[in-house]
Amino acid sequence: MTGQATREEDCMSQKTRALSRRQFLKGISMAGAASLLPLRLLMPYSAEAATAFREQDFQIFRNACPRNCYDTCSIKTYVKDGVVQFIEGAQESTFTQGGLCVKGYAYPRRVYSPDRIKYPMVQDGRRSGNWRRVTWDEAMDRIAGKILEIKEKDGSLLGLGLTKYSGNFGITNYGVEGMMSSLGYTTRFVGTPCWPAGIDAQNYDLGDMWCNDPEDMVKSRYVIIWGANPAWCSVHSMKYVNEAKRRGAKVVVIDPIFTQTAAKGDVYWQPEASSDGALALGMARHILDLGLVDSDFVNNHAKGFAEFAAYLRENVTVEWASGLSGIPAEQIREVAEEFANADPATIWIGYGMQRHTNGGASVRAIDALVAMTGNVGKEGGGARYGHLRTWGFNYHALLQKQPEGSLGFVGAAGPKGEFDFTKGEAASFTDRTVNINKTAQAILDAKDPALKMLWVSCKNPFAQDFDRPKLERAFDTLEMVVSVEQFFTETVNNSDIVLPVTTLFEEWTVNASYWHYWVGINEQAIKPMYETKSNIEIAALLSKKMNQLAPGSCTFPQDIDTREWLEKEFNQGIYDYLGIKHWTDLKNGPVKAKLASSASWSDKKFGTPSGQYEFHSDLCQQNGHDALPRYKEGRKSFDEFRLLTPHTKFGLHSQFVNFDWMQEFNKEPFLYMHPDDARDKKIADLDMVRVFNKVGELKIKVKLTSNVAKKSLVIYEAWFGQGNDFNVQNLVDDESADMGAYKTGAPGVAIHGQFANVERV
Amino acid sequence: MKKKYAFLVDSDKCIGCFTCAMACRNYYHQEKGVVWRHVYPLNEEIYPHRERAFFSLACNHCENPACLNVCPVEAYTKREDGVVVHHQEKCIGCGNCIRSCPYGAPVYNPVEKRAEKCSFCHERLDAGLLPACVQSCPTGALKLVDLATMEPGNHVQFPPGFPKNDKVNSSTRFIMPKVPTMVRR
Amino acid sequence: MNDANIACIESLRDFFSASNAMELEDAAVRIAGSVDAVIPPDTDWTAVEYEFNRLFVGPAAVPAPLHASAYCESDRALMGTAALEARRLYHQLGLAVPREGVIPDDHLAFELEAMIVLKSALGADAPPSEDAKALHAWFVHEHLARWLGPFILATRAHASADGVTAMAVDALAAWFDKELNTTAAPLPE
Repeated sequence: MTGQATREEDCMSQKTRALSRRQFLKGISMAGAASLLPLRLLMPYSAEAATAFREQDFQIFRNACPRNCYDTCSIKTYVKDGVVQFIEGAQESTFTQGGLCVKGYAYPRRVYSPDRIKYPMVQDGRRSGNWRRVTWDEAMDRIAGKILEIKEKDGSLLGLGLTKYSGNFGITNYGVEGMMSSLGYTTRFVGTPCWPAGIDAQNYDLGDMWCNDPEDMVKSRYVIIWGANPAWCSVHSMKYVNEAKRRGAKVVVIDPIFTQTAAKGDVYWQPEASSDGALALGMARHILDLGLVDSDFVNNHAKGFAEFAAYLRENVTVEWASGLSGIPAEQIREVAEEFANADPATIWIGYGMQRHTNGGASVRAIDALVAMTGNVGKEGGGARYGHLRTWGFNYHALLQKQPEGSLGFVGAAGPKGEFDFTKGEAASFTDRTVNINKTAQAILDAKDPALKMLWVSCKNPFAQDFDRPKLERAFDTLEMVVSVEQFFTETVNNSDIVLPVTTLFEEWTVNASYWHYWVGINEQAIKPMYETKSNIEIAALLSKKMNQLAPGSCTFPQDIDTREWLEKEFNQGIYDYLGIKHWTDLKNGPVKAKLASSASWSDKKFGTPSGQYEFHSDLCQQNGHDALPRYKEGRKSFDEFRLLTPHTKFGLHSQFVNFDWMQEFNKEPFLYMHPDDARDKKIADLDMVRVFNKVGELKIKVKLTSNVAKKSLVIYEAWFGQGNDFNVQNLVDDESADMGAYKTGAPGVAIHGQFANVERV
Repeated sequence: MKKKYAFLVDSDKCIGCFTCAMACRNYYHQEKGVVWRHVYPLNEEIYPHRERAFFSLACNHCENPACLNVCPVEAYTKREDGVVVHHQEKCIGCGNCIRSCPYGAPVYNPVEKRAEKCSFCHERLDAGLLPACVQSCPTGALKLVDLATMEPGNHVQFPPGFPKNDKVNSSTRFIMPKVPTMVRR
Repeated sequence: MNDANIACIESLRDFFSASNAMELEDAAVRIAGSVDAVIPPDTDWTAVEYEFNRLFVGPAAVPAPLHASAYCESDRALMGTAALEARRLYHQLGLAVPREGVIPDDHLAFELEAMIVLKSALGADAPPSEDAKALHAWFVHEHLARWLGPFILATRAHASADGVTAMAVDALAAWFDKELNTTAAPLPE
């Protein structure tokens, strides 16, 4: 493009060039405020002369990464002239240990990208590309007007829906749910695509999802990483795995794909996807046969082991497990024996592992393996999945009251998600809840009243929800879609109004992790750019407009300060847990909870109805599943290849992948397939191919590798960029997982229980 | 004893996460297409699994740097501690260094019309801090070492996949990755 | 400096800071007046607004950002050195962007307004001060000259050929060409 050539000509010759980029970032002050022309500076001759980095040249702020990631890094932000110059990981946290990840380090690009959404805008015709700028007042006027119109027509606000998930886990962002409540009873997309089946399973077995401190993995003598890929999705955890290995532990990685994590283990198992339950039961049978069961645990701290043991004897053999999983019987025996003999031994249960129709059942089987060998409640042991122990905030932003006289849904009200910290409603009305994992279907099915309006925040439905063709049809039935976003995603393209939201550097909030036990404050480091507002500021603005048009129609406070709202989230419980006097102590750096033991369940007082570990769970049976962790078959194949669409290391779903900084290293998406399968289909490396199934199709380049099993196709999800309509959701349907409804309000989804075919184009 | 700073690239610990590459970019905000630290996947001849082992490479701060030797305006200096610094403000963009470096460390910046490369974050070293990339590495795979005092071990100067060039005597040291026992169905 | 010249810069400033169709029309009509261009009477100003947003504002990625930093700064990041240079210039003039830091200082509209201030100072009754001349020369040759060219090219590449935005950008180009040619380059000290 000719612009490029002119740009080079027009740019100043380097002789008269102002401060070089590196000099500027070093914080060298310019010679004299009066001098406008910085090119008068003499550059030092010797590289060492007075050019050392000086922290005092910067304003330092503390931030915390609010993305949905195990590591929830504590960030140290260096600001100069009101501009974020660079960031690094906080040194105080032994977990973050001074470094972030490839995504975190791209944050400055997020703030200062010229492509950032800067103003409220209105699209005249979805997907038309015809956008007009509006003032916040105008935007709120339209939105409030629509809300009042719905209330008038339907007599309730059940026609207004909220879909939100984990795009921003800063605690005050639950103010979005609070905003919805403050308007009335609305339709909520509840549940989680992420980890619901496993949460339910752990609740049935142990009475809560509560993992050890991941930093205690160094004490483990045997580590099984089952269906998780921390080398890509929890990079800070890898140092603990490495240290355990260095101290002599054996690391076994079980995954249908030879992942980066698998390459770092001692042994790699590549089972058939969704056969994990059978594999775990086969191991359990062998441990039983060898008499390696921890009798103290199963007799004194567990319920139903005898029944489970009988089930194993009658229905499970190692050969059977080998047949279903593809792992040789002798391997199953060897690892089972080693695992049972190691003290302590631990299993990291990954979220990918349970994204199947039998995911919950599989997690229960793996939990059983850990329990029967006496590894529950041990430092360095445990069935690690996640925890919510450091999330005991007040949820002040979340808990808002419906206006007097609001009408709503009459019916059973379950939890609205795993982060629903509301304590059940005493009102006779509730929100109407629909399954977030069947967003498209839920929109199409909703009636009496139909869904007319959707508020989208902290989520990108077009990238994350399933069955994209159905989702597009569903969106087209909505009268108004409002997106709160930072960048132009496919969801924004399908919206009527976009509201520009702040980044983590532009608001006050606090973040906890669902994996480690550190808590970090998130300070406002710079002023919100352009006309961006944080989610709670948006709620306040909406409330102002609603009450202007119809007094009393919204109870959300109209004047808020994000710092004040941050303060309101803290309570004595958190202060005690963290061992701090006041939240401002966190300005010196992140703090770790004071744990009685690095092991969860160290006192063996389980949260189950019996107070014991439940191999036999009546509750599980009552909720429609098996009382025991019996084998449950996975989804039957309906096409030639299994299709897996796991996470890439270059993004948190669709966040970060679109930046040019990131696309420097991750230029385009690929399909990965086995060379033998490719040969059969006459496909060569880097050919363009078409992947297709009953949901839709996708055109993509292929890379051949034996990292992928035969008869499986692997495509990493959520890449997006200009001029490319790549979207894996054109191939993934919304088939439910078995569990998830109990603790998260809706069953999970079999993201990896998908099948497709492929051909050259 | 004079220090000889070098990078230790432990490809056994390395998980190819690209944190180091992005940390460099975070700190220096390089121009699009200008990359100082790359994370290269090893060929399948060297590591049999595609895109599962990597070398993180920037500048090798050679003993006898090709770049310094061919620079007409003395835009390169080799410090006493081994760091080879590129002085951007003196560079005239002639391209000699870019053509001469056997490792492709200096790259051309088309906007500033000059070469640039990793200078070991020398201003951070002088403040007692680690280079941005080394500090960022989550597994400690990329380390700052002092060749003058480093114990002999399993690190090598010329691993397979890294061009051997005795003339420049690169300072970077490598530890090779391992493969696990593979059990497939 | 004649009033007509200042009026032209004012109309350009107003065009590039417009936030809706009405403001665009108002400014465009004045631009057309000052460069003797003709705007068709049946112009759809909403379509002009759509194009303006697509080129300069968003919400999708913009091919022609209105900030200097996007052109002469590393990898198009905003709030770069160019923005801080502009800020220093405004401070020299006794001015500042309101709520400094919220909108990068190097927005075209701010810079055009600063130009108006400089030209007014140069055109005042007494002979212009050396400082004013030096500031003006620096601003033209070593700030605006670095980015207006690429900005104009980027806009022309993506704007519709006979549209209102094309006309505005042509007016900007013509004005700056003249400014560049009639301003002596700053002397090295």
